[in-house]
Amino acid sequence: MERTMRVLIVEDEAITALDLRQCIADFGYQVVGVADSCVEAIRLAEEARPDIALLDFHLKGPVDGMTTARELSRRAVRIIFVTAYLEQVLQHARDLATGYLAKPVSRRDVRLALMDAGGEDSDRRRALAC
Amino acid sequence: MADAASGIRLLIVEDSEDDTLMVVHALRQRGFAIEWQRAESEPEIKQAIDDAGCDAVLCDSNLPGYGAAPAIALLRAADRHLPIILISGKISDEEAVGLIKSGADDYVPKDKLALLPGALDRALKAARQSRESERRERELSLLLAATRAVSQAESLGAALEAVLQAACEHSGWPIGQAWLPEEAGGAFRLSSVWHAQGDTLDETIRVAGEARESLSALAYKAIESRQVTWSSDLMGRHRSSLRSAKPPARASVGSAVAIPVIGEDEVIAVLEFAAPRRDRSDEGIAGILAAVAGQLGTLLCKKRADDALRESEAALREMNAVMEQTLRERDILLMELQHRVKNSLQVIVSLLNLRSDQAQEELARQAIREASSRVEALSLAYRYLYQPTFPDRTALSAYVPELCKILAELYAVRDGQVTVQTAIEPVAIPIGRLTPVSLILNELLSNAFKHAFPDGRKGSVAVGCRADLDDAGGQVGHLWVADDGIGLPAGFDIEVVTSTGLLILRSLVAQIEGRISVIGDCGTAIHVRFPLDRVESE
Repeated sequence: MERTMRVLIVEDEAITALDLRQCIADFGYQVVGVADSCVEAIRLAEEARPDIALLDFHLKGPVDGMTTARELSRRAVRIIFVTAYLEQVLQHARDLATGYLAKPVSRRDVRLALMDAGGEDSDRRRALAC
Repeated sequence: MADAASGIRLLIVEDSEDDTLMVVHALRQRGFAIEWQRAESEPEIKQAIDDAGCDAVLCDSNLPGYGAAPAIALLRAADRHLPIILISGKISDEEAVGLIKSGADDYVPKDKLALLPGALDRALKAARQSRESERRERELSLLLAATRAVSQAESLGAALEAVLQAACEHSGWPIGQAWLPEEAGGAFRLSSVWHAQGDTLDETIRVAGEARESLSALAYKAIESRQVTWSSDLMGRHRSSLRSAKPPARASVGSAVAIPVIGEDEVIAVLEFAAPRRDRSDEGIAGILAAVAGQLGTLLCKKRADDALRESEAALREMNAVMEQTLRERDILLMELQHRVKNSLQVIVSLLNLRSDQAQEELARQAIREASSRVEALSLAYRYLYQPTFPDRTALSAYVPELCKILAELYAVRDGQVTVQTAIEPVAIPIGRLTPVSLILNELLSNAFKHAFPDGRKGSVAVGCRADLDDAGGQVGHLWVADDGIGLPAGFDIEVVTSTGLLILRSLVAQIEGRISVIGDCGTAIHVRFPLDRVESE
């Protein structure tokens, strides 16, 4: 039996973070934490050992999403970028990404992206994707 | 004899008054009109040359005290073309040859004075010829030098300096200067461009400085007449300082010439020279300079035009750079704005999602999901239609299938239940109408997915967009969604229906100044036409 995927949310917009948390939990994955900065993301990555992070590319604070992505990658966390700056991610952080989601993103897209990353079986995918 | 008619000024270097008269007699007897002056010492000879000059010299071979050889050398040094004829008493051939070598042109024994008129005539002719040919050579050389200098000069200042220098070097004129127009008004000022040469430089500059008022008057005369203008009474009221100056300096400013440089029918500079003698040679040089001034004027005007062109090109480049920078900044701002809109839309979607989670009743959840889908339609429009640069005409064809996916999910349409056929042609929709057009498509497709296929009914939806011209030649856009579902309820009238969806649809169509038509026979077809080329006020 496959263990439930552990997801870290790195998002500094509270409402969006809340929505992502709800959506992921409803879907049956485990949200191990919500970080609103790079430092917090790294702390949680080390503490909670997530499998994957939904990462906002542009975070408040001095450390940008690029650096955060690199640090998370070094800690074996896969990354799905959730960003309004998709073109920048594609330009600079392509190597670091397991997936991309362009804001505004629907719950359906979030789930599909997580399934892609988790290698979910195709039946469940089809059911969800209609 | 040609020269006999004109007065020949003779300097006779001779210690004996009697011998002098004898020589004069010999010449006058043969029809020579002569003015003469006798000198026998070095000071007397120098005085004679400085004061009046002469056309020819007759020099006695036997000059007690001074000696014929030094006298001839002195005269020759003063003027290399001056005809000098040696009149010899009893001297040896060796002595005669020595004196010829020291610079005499010819030699007539005192006891054969009958030969003198012929010898003088020949010597005068030879001198005239050599003077003439030297003058021509000098003029040609000046023309070449000045033309070359003008064509190679980088600026007006450099060109004037080059011409002044070439003129002074070729003419022997001691001083040359240029007048240039003031920035404003019709006044001219003495430019710093000047050239002076010679041993008497300091003295010349001093005297010329004192004569400045007169020089300025001369320059203005040239500006007014636009001709080469001479002044032979340069010093005017400055005679006292002239008298105190040493002879060479005094001579150097004895007369002056001003040459206007004319370009595009306007005097753009005046070249002015102190020309001591104003002889034929000076006038020849002035003529050459006038020609060079013509070239200079043309060249300067061309240069000025080139400079103006270069300047305007530079200004244009700068303006382009500023514009490009502004455009870059505009693009960055636009992109940032779009990012913020996307983030805000994300917050709205999230808020609706969260609200939907909490809603207890299915009806409420459905209502929120519909609202959410409209925001998603807008979000999609943002993603596909509002590109950072300009809207892509073909973007609608990417937008519609994505929209259909969202709606199929929203209205729980099963896989394979409804097929969607799209016929989206690339239409340039005005940027201000992209949002209403995308929302109209959302409403039309929502209607089809929500109402046309109840209870798992199978069918298809056709969605399309194209453009054509109306009767008046105006561009018209067409949007349509047609399904083969259950059709509209009996008595359906789109103008009176009050459901939120249709209310929104009517409002959006009105916003783009369009018209709706509905066909409800088999299935439902809704068609919206709207102007594409109306001046936008949105």
